[in-house]
Amino acid sequence: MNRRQFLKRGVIGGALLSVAGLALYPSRERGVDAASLRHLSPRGFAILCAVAARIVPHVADPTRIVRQIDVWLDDVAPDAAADVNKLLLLFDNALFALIFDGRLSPFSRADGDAQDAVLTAWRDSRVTVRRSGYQVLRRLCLGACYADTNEQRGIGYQGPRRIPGLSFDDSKMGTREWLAANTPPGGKP
Amino acid sequence: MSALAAVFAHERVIDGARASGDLTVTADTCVIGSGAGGAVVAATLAQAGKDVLVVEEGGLYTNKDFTMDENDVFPKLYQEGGRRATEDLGVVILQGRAVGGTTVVNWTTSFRTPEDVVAHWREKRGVTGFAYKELVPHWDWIEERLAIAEVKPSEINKNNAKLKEGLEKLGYAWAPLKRNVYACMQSGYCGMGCPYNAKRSMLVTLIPDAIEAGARLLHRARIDRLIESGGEITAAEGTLQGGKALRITAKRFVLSGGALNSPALLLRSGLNDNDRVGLRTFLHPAIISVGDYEEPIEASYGPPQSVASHHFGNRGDEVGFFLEAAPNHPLLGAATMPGFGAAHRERIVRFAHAASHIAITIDGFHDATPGGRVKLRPSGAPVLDYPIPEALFRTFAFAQKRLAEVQLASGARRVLTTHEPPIEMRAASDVSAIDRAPWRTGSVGVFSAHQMGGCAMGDDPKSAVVRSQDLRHHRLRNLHVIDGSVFPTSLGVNPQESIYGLARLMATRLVAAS
Repeated sequence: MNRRQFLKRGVIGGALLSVAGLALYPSRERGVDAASLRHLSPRGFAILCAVAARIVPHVADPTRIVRQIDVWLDDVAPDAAADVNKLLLLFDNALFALIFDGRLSPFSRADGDAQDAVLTAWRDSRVTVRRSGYQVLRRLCLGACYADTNEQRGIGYQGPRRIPGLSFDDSKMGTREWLAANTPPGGKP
Repeated sequence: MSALAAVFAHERVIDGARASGDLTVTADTCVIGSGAGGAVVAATLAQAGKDVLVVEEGGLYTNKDFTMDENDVFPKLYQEGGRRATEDLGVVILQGRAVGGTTVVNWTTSFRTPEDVVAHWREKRGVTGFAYKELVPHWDWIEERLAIAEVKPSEINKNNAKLKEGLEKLGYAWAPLKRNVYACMQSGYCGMGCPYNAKRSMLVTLIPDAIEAGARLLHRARIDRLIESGGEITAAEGTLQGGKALRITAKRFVLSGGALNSPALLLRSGLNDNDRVGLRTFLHPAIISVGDYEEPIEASYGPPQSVASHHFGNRGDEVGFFLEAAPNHPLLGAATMPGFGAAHRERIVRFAHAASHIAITIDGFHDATPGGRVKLRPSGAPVLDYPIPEALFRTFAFAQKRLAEVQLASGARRVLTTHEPPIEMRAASDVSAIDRAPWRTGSVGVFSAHQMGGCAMGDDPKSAVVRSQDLRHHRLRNLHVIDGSVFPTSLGVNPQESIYGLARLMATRLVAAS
């Protein structure tokens, strides 16, 4: 079973099994304007915020990380962006968790230690898609965290060493706009 | 005035995103893709007086766009913003997408195709259309044009120096690398586009050559499908960025989208003769060893790769590999470092002291490493089904131990694998723990910066997509595939120069035949 089949069956199966379960154990919601999201669903956004809070717990506001990830999804194949939402739903699905891990609470409603245990269970799972899913969420959160220059300084990265006089911009040279701006009256640039 | 800027300001350079309406274009030859294959073909044909149109899905970015910020540059210059992966997510795929293709973002390492690889193709893969010696003058030419030369000892940064030191102490063979740079400022940002135009990528060499010789360049324009009629391609249909339609008619089409993209276009077009398209796609899957040194390594700076070891390239019945260094920048570095929470934080704060050394496995030469298969997502985008075979996991484990030994020999106080959780080693006696690590998909970080195959060349149409004497499609008379997708195995070396040489040989044959 490939990733797509797994996600499809997992989400559909989980949804069928857990109609009552979801009503009893819904994801923790996080107030977010759906119109402000590009790819993530409001529920996916809330789940990913909960994940980010455990992946990079030193970050005070995980919504910054998740909004960055939402922007990054512009660039991946549209099917892959949809898969991230499916993965998040699966990650938080109460009955899916019951079947695999013996717990009956969505990830987003668990306390910190329990959430770390869920991440570890996905990391160490015998099911390839759970391990890969863990890696996707982990890498996205870490990448989005350390894309920030303040975070980069915090790990000792000093940024590019700019070489004086060599960081020039010649990309507009020769364009009509450039010629107009750089041509003296009656002369040539 | 910058000659380069003047070239790109030419009216023959067209931004598809700025088209006011649907676009219909006619050309003698339409080259799809502007990377190592497409740029060479376009320049060679244009300089021979041919009417050439180059179509590129990515944008035209120049050194002012190369801000040395991963978060800014990756979405511009990489396929899927640098987040492409195999279908099971087991291998992260770094592949360029811009005018100049992957040559804009590669780490500049330049090797000719090993002679024994070309011999293997002839003997085992039915590639009899050219001999090794016929490629040599084209490599001579490209090495002069791209200023390919061996690094000087003074240019070896600490990351590479640690690799070299460990290799020497353990008696493993190594050699300095050749790079395609001129007046390199050693910034370390080759993977984000050279901000100083020192890297002699296709963006600053053969694409401008092609335009100056009369070729047209249409960028931010994706080809969705090729239209076949009567054994020929009659048109290419596509989409301009922003949604407007594109239609190109040409007498000849040259497909140079690279591995994954070239086979995907054939698949979208229903041109999968003998069910061979997309098969035998190779990745040189690579694993990483992180050495934590007492002194700062600062692997973000300096030439990313300057030494390599092919000591383990040929391991008989086991899959071979070669060792190189990899640059370390915060976004990718943090995502690569294993763990989460406090454990990850404890490791990543050692960022400036971390050396990254990689083992690149050589897939495609053993029956146990048949490569992956390019498939299409429902949207038509490519995805590579590449289950990592057991034979590669065995080599990963062997190579990971050698890397750990090299790093410990060169003074690392701690060595980490990218397993989840990582194996941590502080002495040579700890290295055997690698054998007990979870060697399975999703439990260890694997990446690919070299994609090859998927439209294999060969003389037998039952097993190959294109002929080896001219890289023409076996059935379609006016369709050629000239890029890294034609390699019938991986290469065992970084691929850019192999593509340049083969593309120039084939382009000169196209000129001679027309």
